Amino acid sequence: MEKDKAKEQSFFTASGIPLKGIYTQEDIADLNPERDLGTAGTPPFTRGVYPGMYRTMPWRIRQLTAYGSVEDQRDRIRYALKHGDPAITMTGDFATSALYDLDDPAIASRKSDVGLVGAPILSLRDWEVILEGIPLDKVYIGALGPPQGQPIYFGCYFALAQNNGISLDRIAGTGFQDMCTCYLAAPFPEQIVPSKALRLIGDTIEYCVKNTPHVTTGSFSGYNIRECGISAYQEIAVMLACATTYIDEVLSRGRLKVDDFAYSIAGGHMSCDRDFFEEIAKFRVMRRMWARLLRDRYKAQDPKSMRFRIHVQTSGASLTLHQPMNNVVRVAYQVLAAALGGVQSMNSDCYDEAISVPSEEAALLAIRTQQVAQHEIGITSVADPLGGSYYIEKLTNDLEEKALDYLKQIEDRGGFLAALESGWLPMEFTKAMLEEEKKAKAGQKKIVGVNCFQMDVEPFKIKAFNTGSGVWEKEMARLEALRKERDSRKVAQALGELRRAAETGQNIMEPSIEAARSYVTLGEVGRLWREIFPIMKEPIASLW
Amino acid sequence: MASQGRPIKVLMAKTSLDGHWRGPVVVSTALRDAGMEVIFGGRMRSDEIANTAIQEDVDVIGLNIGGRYGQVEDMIRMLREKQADDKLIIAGGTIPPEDIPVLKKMGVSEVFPPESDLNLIVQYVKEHVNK
Repeated sequence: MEKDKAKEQSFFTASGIPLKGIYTQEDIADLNPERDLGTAGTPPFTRGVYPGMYRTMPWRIRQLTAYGSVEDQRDRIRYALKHGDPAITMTGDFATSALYDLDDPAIASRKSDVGLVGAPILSLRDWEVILEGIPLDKVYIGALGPPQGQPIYFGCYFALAQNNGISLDRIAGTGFQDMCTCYLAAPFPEQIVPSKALRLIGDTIEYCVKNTPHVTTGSFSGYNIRECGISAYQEIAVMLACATTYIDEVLSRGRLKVDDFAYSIAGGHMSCDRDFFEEIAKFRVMRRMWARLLRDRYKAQDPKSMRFRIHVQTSGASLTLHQPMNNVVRVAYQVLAAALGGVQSMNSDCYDEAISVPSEEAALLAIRTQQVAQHEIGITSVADPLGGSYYIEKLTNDLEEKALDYLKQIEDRGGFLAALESGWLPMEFTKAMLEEEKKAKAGQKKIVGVNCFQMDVEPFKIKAFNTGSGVWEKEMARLEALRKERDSRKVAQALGELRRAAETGQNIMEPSIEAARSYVTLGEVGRLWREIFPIMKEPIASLW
Repeated sequence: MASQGRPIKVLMAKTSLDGHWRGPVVVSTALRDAGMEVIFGGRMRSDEIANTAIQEDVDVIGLNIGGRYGQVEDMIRMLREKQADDKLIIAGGTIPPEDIPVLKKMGVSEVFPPESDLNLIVQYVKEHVNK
């Protein structure tokens, strides 16, 4: 009886790839190991980007630690540094990401939001407070700015290093400036149009390859778009479509060749979602497709250009409000999948994220989850342990085929920017959101504690973390003090230089570092951008 | 509502500058599929929500919020000042269970945290709308 049932039922991966009950040699008869896999550390890097993988370089534990006032955020970062790895993610609240000062009407009318999802980090002064006493040449910094904010985020980071006597070739970290997140998945208000943001992105790349060899200039992010509900192959394809836009921009300037800069953007931020094996295959596909794209389309020759490094964040959308301790288990499985997929760094989510900004205990447990995986279960000894599995290799091939097809669909619509501006990509995302909801409702997508194994009484009581209040008042006072203290002549001069660079096409980075050093605020940069660049209409608004 | 022959009219808005649209898009679609007219206001300040709700004469205000509620309070005060507090106000988002009574005390009729059943949201609106 049970046997018959299994026969009738069809099995698919989360992205709809049909599955057989068992895989054999026949399923990978076309696989050419030398061409399609290589070994760890050799193109196409399917099996991993470094020869020794975790033996020589364990994945880096880099947690998002953001909330409250500048001091709250500083303390949480120190807590994460004490218990985890020497890596920091600098990300702020909505005011920071959207480049508004706290007295801008957009923020002053939303005072209570300030400090909810991060501290307002609005000037070099805030960077000084948060990173005080932290050796910038020994800690990896994620200075994660949106495209229009990245020059001034880097400006603060680089100026702080230089002010501390550390030359820029000694700092290691990463920027963000990803359009998938900031223009598609979770756009900020009043952003400059993507074509103008692209120019700023090109400037940071040109500057960084000359001056900050250990800073990854940008990081293509599939994470936030994936969280909207799209599939694994769409995540890969949209990231690659976005990447070609950046590469084409830099090449079109005629000053750098592909091997001069590709290494500095050869990295991404990906999700690790629910489907264990498909996610493992996804990281392998991402590396292989990047390597082939760079080699075949852009004629890259340096293996570093073809080597795509991956930072993973476990899936926030998979976490549940009900029976929240179940989330600990979900995160652990996702960490395991990411590790088996050979990623370079990880942010494991906290079990309370469907309820509130994470508590300190939840943040600690997330770090410990990765440490248990690294030190107790023996998965770091051998590179690509699932390589050669009939199933994993077949899934890798199938997923790649779907990703290639979706990439072609985007390129047939004129590429990433055109597909974004025409509304096609936003519509694809909206469709995915609704589809996922339907699947959960129909019970096709099982969620333990939510649509199966529900309980009338919550078995685990956890307390929502209180991010405090009064952050706007406290930080506004700091901003006012800064405005009085700083040399207003220098500020005016720095803003003038920034405007001149923006208007003439001179590289934006030197004036951005100078602006940061003069304590120009992010809000002042935002105001300038909004004055001289056209503003993008939000894609979601045009769909309704 | 049905007696007047006009569909239930909903204004859906996000009070913060956040840009995660999955929740409001999914809920808006469910309400629209249930025959309601949905104005997708996107990201709005509290005064914009109150004024739009009055001008458009909506029956329901749906808010996407989470964690901080200063703007909900502001919006409800503005509606009261303009004698427009007969509208059904519902909210959803990453809202800790202990905040639900706080929101209800402010004047939010019902709160729908993550994983709420869309059918229940539709049913709630139909049963509680003041028309």
